[in-house]
Amino acid sequence: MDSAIQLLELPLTGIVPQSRPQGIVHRSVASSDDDCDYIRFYFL
Amino acid sequence: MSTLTTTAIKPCCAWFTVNHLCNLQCRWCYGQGQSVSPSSNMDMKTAMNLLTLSQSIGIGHITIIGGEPTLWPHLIEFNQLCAQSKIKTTIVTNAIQFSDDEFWGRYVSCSNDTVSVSIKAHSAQLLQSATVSSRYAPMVKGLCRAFKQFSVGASTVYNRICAEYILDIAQFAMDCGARRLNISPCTPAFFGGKSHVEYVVEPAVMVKHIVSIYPKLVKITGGKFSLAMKLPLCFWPKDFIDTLVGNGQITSSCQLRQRAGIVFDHDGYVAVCNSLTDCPIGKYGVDFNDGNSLLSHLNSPLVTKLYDRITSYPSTKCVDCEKFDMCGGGCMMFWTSFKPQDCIPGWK
Repeated sequence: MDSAIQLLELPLTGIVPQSRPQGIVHRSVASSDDDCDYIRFYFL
Repeated sequence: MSTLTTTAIKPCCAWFTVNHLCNLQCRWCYGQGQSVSPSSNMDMKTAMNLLTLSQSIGIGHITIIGGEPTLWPHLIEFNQLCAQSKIKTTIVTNAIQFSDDEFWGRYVSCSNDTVSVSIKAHSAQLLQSATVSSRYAPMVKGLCRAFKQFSVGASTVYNRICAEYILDIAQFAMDCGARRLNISPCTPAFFGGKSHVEYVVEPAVMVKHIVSIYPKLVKITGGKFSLAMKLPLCFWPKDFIDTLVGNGQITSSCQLRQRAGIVFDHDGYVAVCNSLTDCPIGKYGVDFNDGNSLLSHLNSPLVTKLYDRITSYPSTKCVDCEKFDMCGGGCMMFWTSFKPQDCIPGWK
């Protein structure tokens, strides 16, 4: 956890959104809902 | 400071980093700088424990990443275990190992539910420039096998080494049989307490390039491509975003913004993102032992404070932005290097 603490110093506003952004995942991109879960994660 | 009305963190999907050995070692990979031995493997006992733990909190889908997970010695055994446990799995691979006839025979008998294939280069020359490998022919064989067997798309990273060849890579992917192509910008890597941007294409340069080649990308892929929006949407021309959305050629935001996933490293450390495994937030056997104690740890004051910070609006221009629900403010990895308040233009 010690190394993660440094992320608290990132130059973000600190203002937390009231809801979590849904983003965009097109079903034409993903072949299934499971694929959508993966696509939401950043590609390597 | 405002707070979320629902603060509970309950992951619905997990990533298992099963090894750190890779047969390509792409120069832009976030794994290159991580402080872990390339020979580190997740042992089967740890994998079983983490699988049981994941299942106990309702996780039904595990994505297996590395390193290069096809080199993980326990892959087939783990796949069998997941199938018995009715856990779906995706493997993220460069597909080179699929060219090995003996391995391929064993793998297809107990494969993952789906495969995410990552393409690094379209030519032997670029492969040698971008990686430590000269195994071009095996790469092509493995890619073709994967696309034929699983009928899936490919992904590729837009970085300083490959950017000028992105159309060639797109053509190569389609020629190998990819159903579609996802292009994902390289993001800063964070390790050793520092952000590293050597392979990140300067955002304005990338935007101008991608917009200019869009018609050719459509032609090569038959429109079957998508662009991962790691930059905030307002970095791009409005009409370009509208076109991508209208044509289903865009993905944005990620599990971190939704607090919907969790990443386990080979030794049981847990991170909020696979680009941040050098900054773990806890460890199996130390901070948690089962599903309930993991959820307690994820919702502890310090971890919640961390999530709140890294998912906060990157700029005050995002607070009232009509597009924020679609955008999410971009990948937070960019903000390890760039100052969002200075560079986010806002959606005008």
